[in-house]
Amino acid sequence: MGATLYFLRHGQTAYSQTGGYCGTPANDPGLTPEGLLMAKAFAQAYREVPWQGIYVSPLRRTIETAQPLCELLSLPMQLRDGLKEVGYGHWEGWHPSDLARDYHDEYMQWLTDPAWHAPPGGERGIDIARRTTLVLDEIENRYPEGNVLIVSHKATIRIMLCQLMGLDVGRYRDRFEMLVAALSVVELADRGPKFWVIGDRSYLSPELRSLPST
Amino acid sequence: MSLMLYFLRHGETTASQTGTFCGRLDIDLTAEGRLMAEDFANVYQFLPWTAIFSSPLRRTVETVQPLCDRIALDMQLREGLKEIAYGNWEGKTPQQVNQEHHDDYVRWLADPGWNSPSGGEKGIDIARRSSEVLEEIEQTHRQGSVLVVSHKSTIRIMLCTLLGIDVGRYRDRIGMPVASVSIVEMAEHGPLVHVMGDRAHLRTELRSRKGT
Repeated sequence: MGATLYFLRHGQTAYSQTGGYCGTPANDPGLTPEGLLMAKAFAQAYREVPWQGIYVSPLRRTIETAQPLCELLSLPMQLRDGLKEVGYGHWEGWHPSDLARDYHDEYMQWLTDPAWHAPPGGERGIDIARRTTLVLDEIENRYPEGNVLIVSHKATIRIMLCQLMGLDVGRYRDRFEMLVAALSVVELADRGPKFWVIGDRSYLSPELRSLPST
Repeated sequence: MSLMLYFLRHGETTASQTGTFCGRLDIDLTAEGRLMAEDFANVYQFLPWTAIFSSPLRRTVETVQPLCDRIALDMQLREGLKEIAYGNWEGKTPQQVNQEHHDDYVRWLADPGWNSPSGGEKGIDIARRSSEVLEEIEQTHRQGSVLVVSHKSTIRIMLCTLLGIDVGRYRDRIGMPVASVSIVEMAEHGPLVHVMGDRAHLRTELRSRKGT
């Protein structure tokens, strides 16, 4: 019996409403007011869980998502670079329709297999799989049991789920949806990772849940 | 808009409470299992359902009956959605099976994809028969919301097949408590999981009940 991992995607940002690509610190939006409400709703719903550790990507939107829970329970946040979003390279801040026009073939290749194709100057899925595995390994070794929260990003969480489930990393964009503030729960059981929930948003109010999201 | 598949596991039974092997044994829901079926109908009656497919066993039929009554839609029964046949293990506890069929049990725990319970079905057999039902649904419903009411092993095997996970991993990778809902969109580039293992429609007392 090992730890139970709670993967939380950050709340709403301006980019998550429009579908623009954003990964690196130079392009680091915070949450919208609705995104902050999502973070507060999570803190209220999950305050009773006996958290052993809280691991967070050091970007603004993930820190702001974890902040209400950490303040409520006076728990420290462990920031890990390995949990950052995909580095989109030259595509940072771009929208899909513009990429389809200006980077047509590279964009098609990346959409079809994002594991072994990188955005120009950015990261391949397989690179993200490697750096996240180091963080998961650290957590697994440090917590033989208990509940650990991991606050990260859309691509990064989906890649971690692929790795844990035994799915080809190149399928991450097509197999999991993962809207903003979605929660997935995986127990590190005796015979490997056991998935209890994927993409749960039932803790959000119906208004927050029905906001458009990518 | 593409086809959305909603996989619903049946509500609580005495076997789901005790963990005895119950595949083709045709048992009913408990009183709490019937309340789970009511809670499901209450929340999901407002979805514009296109069709409802169910395993013909009593526990699945009783789980979806309240919804069918409310929205006046018939359920279509399919043998391919039945639970795994446990053969000589039916009605026994894991401890008994471990004693009486030790080697078969150890092999099955390690890989239920290509090993069957003594006299029962291999995971791969279930993958084949359930795939025929999914194929029929895809052929007859290009879009809309289709409910598929089935069992713990059968639903997990369908999810493995759709996701591309080895069928032999179904018991170890996926938890699937009674009355949970999993939603998969048959999208342009393959099956897209929106939600897995959702039980938000159940009242708190039901959601917190122990069981398998």
